[in-house]
Amino acid sequence: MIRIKILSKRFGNKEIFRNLNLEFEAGKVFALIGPNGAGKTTLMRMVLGWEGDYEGEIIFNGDLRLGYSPETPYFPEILTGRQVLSYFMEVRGMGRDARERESLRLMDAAGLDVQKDPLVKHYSKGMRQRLGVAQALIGEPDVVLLDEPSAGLDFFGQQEIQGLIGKLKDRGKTVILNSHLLYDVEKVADCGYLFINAHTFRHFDKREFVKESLAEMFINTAKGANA
Amino acid sequence: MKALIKLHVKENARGRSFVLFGILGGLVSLVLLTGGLVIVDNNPTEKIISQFGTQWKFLSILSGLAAVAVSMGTIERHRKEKRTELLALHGLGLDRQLFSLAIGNAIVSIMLSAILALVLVFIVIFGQAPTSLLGFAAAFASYLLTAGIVALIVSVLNMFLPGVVAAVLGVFLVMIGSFHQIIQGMFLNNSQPAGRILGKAMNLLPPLDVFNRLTRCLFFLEFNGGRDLTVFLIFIWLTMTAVYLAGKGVSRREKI
Repeated sequence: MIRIKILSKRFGNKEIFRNLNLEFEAGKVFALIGPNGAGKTTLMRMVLGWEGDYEGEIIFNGDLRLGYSPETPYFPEILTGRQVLSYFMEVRGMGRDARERESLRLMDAAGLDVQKDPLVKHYSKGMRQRLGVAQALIGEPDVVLLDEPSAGLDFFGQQEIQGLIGKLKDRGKTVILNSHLLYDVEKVADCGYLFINAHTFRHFDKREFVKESLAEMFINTAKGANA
Repeated sequence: MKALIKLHVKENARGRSFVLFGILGGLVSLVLLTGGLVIVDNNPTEKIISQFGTQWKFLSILSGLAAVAVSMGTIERHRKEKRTELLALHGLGLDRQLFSLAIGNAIVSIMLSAILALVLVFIVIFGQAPTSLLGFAAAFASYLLTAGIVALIVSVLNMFLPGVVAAVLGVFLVMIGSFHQIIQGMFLNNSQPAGRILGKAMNLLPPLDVFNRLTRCLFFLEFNGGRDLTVFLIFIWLTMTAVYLAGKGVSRREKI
């Protein structure tokens, strides 16, 4: 479990979060929903330890391993997808045999064809996103953070990413998903947080979707905040 | 670190610049071989020495400029493309990333400098050069390491400055460094205090002409003392230390 208690997080004069209390339980798919600039990516970066300048604390229950796929992941263009995975594994100090075995497994898990594996510069956006997810799974992380994994993908690409997230959940991973695609979130998320502004956020659970769609929930929460 | 160095070399040691510098180095060597730019009396020994000496000087300047061209902007690009964070997540801290990139730049510069001097190698092997195999190997090594030092210095500059600014400073360092002793002498002989201060301050700049003199002495089998070699080795050590400390400093500032 990850518990986040942020009293204040600012970028210069702009307050990003105030009195933020979030909990991420193990084995669930969490979604972070909110308008652009609401701080969703910043929150992910805080969990990853790259935004240390805040008042409050982020508590990890045990020694959790984290995996992360950025919104627009950079991968060396002169390598194939499998070589990219092998490269990150080599950075981690994994031996050649383990790299061969694991890169094959992760390519397969991400639905990437090992036989027809072109250079990354020839990858489509969807293939890059799937490679990003595969990269995030190196080292068997307990928590996988996915920043806009379906951004810019067509319907089929979005469905593939949904399938991938479902597989991660089946394997007991905790997934924190940052997405603008409400339909996508309704399909895959168990629960999550809606962010409206620096001090307005609410928790939601997928059981609530029976009464209220995520879009309605979002609009009603925003109205409540502005009232 | 090995994985990033390998990738960095693979990404940068390709393309047209290698062919371009190969042709450029070949042309310089051939022009100087025919004596086109060497003016001496009709003493054949003196002419050969002058020819090879000038070749090393030209190649040294060219390889320094090649090192600047290879290294400029690489570290800035690495950070702009946000390569740093994923690598950090996989266990390679920013300080070690920067160190790896600087070493990668030095390796690519050394490869490029070797290509620059390829025609010279053929001339030495098949022609009449006043050297031995050992002398040539030692000279060649010091010539290559000089290019590596330039690449490391430009890499450090690029950790703090934009690529273009680092490149301009790099070119400045190569040009000043190649005539270090002459320029320093001019300043130190100046009666004005400012001139003498500038002369002293030049000790901070890499004396590439001293490294080049070491190369020529090794080549002509005239190596007669350790002073130039000591300066050379101290500078390699200082540059490596600067790369290491700069990487640590940037990493601490950026908390990655």
